[in-house]
Amino acid sequence: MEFSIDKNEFIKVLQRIQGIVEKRNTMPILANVLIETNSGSIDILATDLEIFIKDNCPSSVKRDGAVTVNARKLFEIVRQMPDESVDISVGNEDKVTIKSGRARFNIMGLSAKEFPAFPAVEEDSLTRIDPDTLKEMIDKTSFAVSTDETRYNINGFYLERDDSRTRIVTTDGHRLAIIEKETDIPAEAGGVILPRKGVTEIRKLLEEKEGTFYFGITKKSATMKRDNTVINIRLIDGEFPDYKQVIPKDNDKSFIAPRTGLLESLKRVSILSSEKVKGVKFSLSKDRLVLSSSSPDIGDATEELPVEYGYDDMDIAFNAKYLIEALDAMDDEKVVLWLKDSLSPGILKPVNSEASGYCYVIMPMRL
Amino acid sequence: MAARTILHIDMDAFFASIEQRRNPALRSRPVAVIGRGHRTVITTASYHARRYGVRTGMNIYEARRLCPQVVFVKANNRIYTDTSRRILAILEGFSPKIEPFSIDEAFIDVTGSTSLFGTPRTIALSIKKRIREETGLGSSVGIGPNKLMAKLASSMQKPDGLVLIEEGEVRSVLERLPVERLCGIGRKLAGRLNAMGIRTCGQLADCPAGILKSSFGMTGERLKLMAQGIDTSPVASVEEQERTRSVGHSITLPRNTSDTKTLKAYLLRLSEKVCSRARKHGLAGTRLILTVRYSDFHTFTRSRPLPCPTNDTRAVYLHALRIMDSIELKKAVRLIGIAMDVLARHLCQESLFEEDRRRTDLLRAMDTVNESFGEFTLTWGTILESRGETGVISPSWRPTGARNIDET
Repeated sequence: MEFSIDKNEFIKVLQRIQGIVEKRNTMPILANVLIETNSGSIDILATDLEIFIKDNCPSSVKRDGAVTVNARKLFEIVRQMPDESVDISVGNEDKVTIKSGRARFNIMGLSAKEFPAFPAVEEDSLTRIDPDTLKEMIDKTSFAVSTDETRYNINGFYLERDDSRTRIVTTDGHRLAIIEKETDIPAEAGGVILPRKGVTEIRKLLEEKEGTFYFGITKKSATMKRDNTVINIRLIDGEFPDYKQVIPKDNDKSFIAPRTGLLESLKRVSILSSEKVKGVKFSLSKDRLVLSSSSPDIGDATEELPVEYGYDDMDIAFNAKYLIEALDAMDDEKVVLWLKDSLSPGILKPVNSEASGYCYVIMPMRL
Repeated sequence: MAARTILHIDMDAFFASIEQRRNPALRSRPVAVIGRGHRTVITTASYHARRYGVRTGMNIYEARRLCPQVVFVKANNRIYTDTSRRILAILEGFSPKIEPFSIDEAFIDVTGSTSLFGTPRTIALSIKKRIREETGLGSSVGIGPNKLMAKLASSMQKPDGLVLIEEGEVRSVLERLPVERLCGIGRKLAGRLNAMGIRTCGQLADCPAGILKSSFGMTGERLKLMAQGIDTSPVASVEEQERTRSVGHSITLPRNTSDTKTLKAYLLRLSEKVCSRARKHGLAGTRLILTVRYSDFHTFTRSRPLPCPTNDTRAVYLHALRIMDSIELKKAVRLIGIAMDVLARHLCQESLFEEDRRRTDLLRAMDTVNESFGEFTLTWGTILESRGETGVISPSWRPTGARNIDET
């Protein structure tokens, strides 16, 4: 195999796959990237067996072939090359030679035959989607995904569709974010779970504004395609908890507050909550909300803010972090928090929730 | 500080006496209690056995050499801890100020109890009598103006002793007392003092503070005070003494193993021990630390943060498993332990899902049963095989408190 490639194009592609290649040394081949010639261009593949990414880069191919080489080292080398063009050739026993200007590197590769096969993606299973909608849906739910590796069934984004609406649900067992949109984003009626790391890669691709985006779900995997870049992620094989059951239906008390005002107050008051658990007490009375926190070693803080509230006085405590993250992700001017009592979950929504399709359920802390 | 009256109660050959009480055939014979493990040591020798030189910490062969007729009895830790709790309950009848010092020792401040129960000596006699009536065991009691003197007094006449050191006698008692007789001066420290020409408490008390300070730093000042019989530390419950920062347990396996199934069963057992203790004290773990000791005594730890503070046995066990899975065992394992950095749960985050809440309720119910009937009475099926006692109970075992306790 032998080809020349534009350095900057190559760097862009190599950079994108760095997040996927396996850092731990469990299977050496997974630290490598597969480079394969493909009718006058090269395909570049990387995987950690959960996520597969395939990219394509124009290049002038002199001799066809395929090889795998350490992704990290290749990236570092190419990035430091002096010229705008890089020549790569493969000799005996997968020895890879990288040349640019007067610099020359020889690194040992591994046979392309060892590399896991990229899952077959049927082009017609993919639907063209609006990248901004998917981006918004991910951003308003990603913070609630559980990071507890022992609870694998909630380590991801639950994606489901009924009729013309697609829904993403995330939870960590203490709070739950739901966003529902009238959109073409495909999903299964039964619902699937997309792993967090894979969605992070999809989200990165969505960041690249240009191009047309396609998305599709099969039984085992989800695929995202933008021009020549394809990401395929293996779905989490597990059962997402019955989220509908935890959405309260009888929360009859609510207060309306300006989103940024509430957000900033919470950030201030929670400074004095204990370090790990940011507990903040909400004391509600007629059109008044008092936020307070205390830490036995340091001191206490309170802040009063005017809200629209016309029910019985009530005290409830929340982990401020959970509310701050949700308020941060929202973009509405006013939010409403629906409550029942101090031990039942609250529901945070934009005041105009129909349009945004967003709802955030949060379990209180016991006072 | 106003004059105080402190009692130190020290059980006589605690484990051995319990065994002799349980089995009359042992009563006239030298008895040594040993751990349940294969490589165990003597935890307590009866006074009879002690006369032959049998001591705590010796291995079986040494003991048999010194005293061929010695009878070895395997430890029954649950009975010992239960007895310890019963003794503590007796003490609670005399004063609220009790400090369990180990499984068979406790301090009790009776300063305010004399108008109710009589002179300190009367109280001491009543306590000894109650303990003998209710447990059949002998104890020695020391009475002093502080913990240091009370502890010294209880050691001066054993077994079945009762020694009172009055405030005015402190100086004369200490004058010729070897420094190592004081609680807190170990063999090493005594050796250093001896090297300086200081053998008795009297000499230590007379030693200029500057010299002690330059040799021992902060400890130097305390040493001088101790030698004068001054100790202002209060009799305080474990909870009052320390704000617990970590909770841990470890276990020396009955035999070295690399079998992951066995190790996992022990991890579950240890998780339950650590978590039930954390639950009892309203603590939640924020970081999990796994300790592994190989057969060659090479010991290392691996830790990882817990995603949210927890004292749920299952959650902690699963995280411990993940740490275990990340370790490539190079040798057979001799000891395994887990510990958690903990914080007090002032506010408790409730779970959204019914299933998680039910588990919390289940753990609470388990704790209630085990509180009444002994730990591991109600437990996971997985660890049933390893149920029953393993190893030796640590002398630092205390009936209360969340302290870091090792099962060795």
